[in-house]
Amino acid sequence: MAEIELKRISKGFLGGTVAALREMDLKIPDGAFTAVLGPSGCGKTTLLRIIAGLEQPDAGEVLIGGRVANHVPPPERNVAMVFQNYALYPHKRVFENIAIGLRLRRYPKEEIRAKVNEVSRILRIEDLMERYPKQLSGGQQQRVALARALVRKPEVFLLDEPLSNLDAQVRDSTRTELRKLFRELNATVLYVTHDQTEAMMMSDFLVVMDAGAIRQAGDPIHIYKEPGHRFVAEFIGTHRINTVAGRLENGRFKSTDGAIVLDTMIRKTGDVLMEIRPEHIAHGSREDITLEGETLLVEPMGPTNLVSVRVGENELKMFLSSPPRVGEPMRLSFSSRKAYFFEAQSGLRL
Amino acid sequence: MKVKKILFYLLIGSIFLYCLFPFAWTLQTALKPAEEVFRLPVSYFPETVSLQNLGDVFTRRPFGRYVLNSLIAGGAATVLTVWAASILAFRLRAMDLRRAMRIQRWFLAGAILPPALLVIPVFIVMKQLALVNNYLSLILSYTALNLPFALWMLHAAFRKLPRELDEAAVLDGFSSSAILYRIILPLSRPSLAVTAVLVFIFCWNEFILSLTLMPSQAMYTVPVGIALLSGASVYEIPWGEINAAVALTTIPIILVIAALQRWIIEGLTSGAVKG
Ligand SMILES: Nc1ncnc2c1ncn2[C@@H]1O[C@H](COP(=O)(O)OP(=O)(O)OP(=O)(O)O)[C@@H](O)[C@H]1O
Ligand SMILES: [Mg+2]
Repeated sequence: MAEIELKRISKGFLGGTVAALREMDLKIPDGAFTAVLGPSGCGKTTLLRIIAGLEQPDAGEVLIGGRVANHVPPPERNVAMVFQNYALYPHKRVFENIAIGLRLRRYPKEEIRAKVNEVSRILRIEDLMERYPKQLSGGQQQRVALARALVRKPEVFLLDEPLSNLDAQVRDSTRTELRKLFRELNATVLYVTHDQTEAMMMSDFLVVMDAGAIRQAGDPIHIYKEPGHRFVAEFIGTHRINTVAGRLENGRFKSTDGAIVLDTMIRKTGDVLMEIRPEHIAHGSREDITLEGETLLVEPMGPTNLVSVRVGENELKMFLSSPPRVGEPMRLSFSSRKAYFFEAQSGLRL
Repeated sequence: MKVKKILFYLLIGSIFLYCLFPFAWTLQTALKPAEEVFRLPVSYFPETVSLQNLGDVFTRRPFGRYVLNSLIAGGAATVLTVWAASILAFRLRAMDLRRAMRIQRWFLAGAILPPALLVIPVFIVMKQLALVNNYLSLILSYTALNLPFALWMLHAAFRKLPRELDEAAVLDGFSSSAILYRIILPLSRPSLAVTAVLVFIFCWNEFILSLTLMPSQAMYTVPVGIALLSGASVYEIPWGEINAAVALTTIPIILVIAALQRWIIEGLTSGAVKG
């Protein structure tokens, strides 16, 4: 099948003034459902386009299934792509949009019909076959675009935010179905999204990008638990991680305002950031680091509440099902093992 | 509100009259019998409608032949121009915008020369190629003259289509000529139609090249044929027949526009991409 490997890929635009990818190294295991996660403009689409062969890298090698693919023309790479803006053929009906790739590859008529019917059933667009793309809603167009990619059963799928236009409900069910579908196909999938919950839920392999570089790649749970870079820690997680600036000296962290002090195993001296996830902060003094603070804000979130607490000059967020009133004093605690330390300058994990 | 509306219609009406008056005059002169054309005081509507002039144009002169010549030269030149411009515009679209615009400007520079200036060199070349009195001489020169304009129109139209459309097509297995003929051209039909109509009108009305490159009467195009319509003596100008011929020449243009009307109006391109 098709493992994908990128070796020191660089790509610039506008005569090199915009660096979309910077010496990127990446190895995606064969058959992995890979989510590519990153903020807008970080180079996700460019990455997919280079793998598809729609864009030539300025430097570096693309390997698909162990073969250097730099000079393999796109139709021979056996990849299908769902574009961020769908790119359906406006003058062809939905059926034709989906079938055209098979037609051009000279599949027999009945087989084309059967395959198209199958994917359109999975994506629930059977009733739309006779319409033109402009007669569809955004979400329906998106599903047609997905069907066009799926019907060919290539070795590699490149999906550029394929669910971004679906409403929450359809999105959830389509997500689950897609996941099942791709597992059956055993294809290598690159799935671009900037929704990190989606990325965590769906992927076997997660790539976190920032400014044209990979910050971290690997098992999503591992990335969540052990972020290698400040950017990753802040980008991944249901709620933004708490950040406390301070200084590390002789294995002891002290926040800039002096309100938070804790001992660590890290033998390093310098300015650092201590980060702790809201879900790792508890009410009361159950854990080893106990702090006193004052409730600033309570944001209800259904079954739970996001509570902001002021500790010294810092604002820490945590989840509480029965929150205190605003202004009340609060005692909270966390385990020092759950705290991450990053070098202030480089953002690298210590 | 109402006053504004009335003023608007008055304005539109007067522009309409202003533009159509020459045409109406031509038409009514064409329909007058010869004696009435020169009679004073002028009559604004023919007292007796006569189809004499219209008939004479075809029976006493080879006007049918002129129309055929014009249709062949103009039609072939239009098809050739639009086809060549499509291919060029498709190539330009694949380039980055700045480079494409530079190339396009060079083409436009060629279009600045007035055709009258080209008559002699073109005639010499055609003479050497033994193409004088041959449709090809007009077809080739009309194509060359119209190509910059057609390229400009089509390049602009093609650029409006999202690049992802071609890219999706590449991945689907379309060859690059199939992308042009099966995706880009069908989606650019309105612009193709407008371009074709304007190029055809240019060819249909072109006079000076046609006059020089097609000197024998059997090869006259319509404008040349009309200009050289002469009476029994140099003192007689056959106004009735001239006007009949002019009125008749507008018919093919109207037919071409009517035929392409649907394409010009329909906007199939919407819905190609999100938003
Ligand atoms: N054709 C182009 N010309 C110039 N700059 C480009 C071009 N394509 C992309 N870029 C730039 O390269 C960078 C990466 O773009 P890319 O489209 O890959 O981002 P992305 O991660 O897909 O963003 P989004 O989530 O908004 O889709 C951006 O800064 C973008 O402006
Ligand atoms: Mg993108």
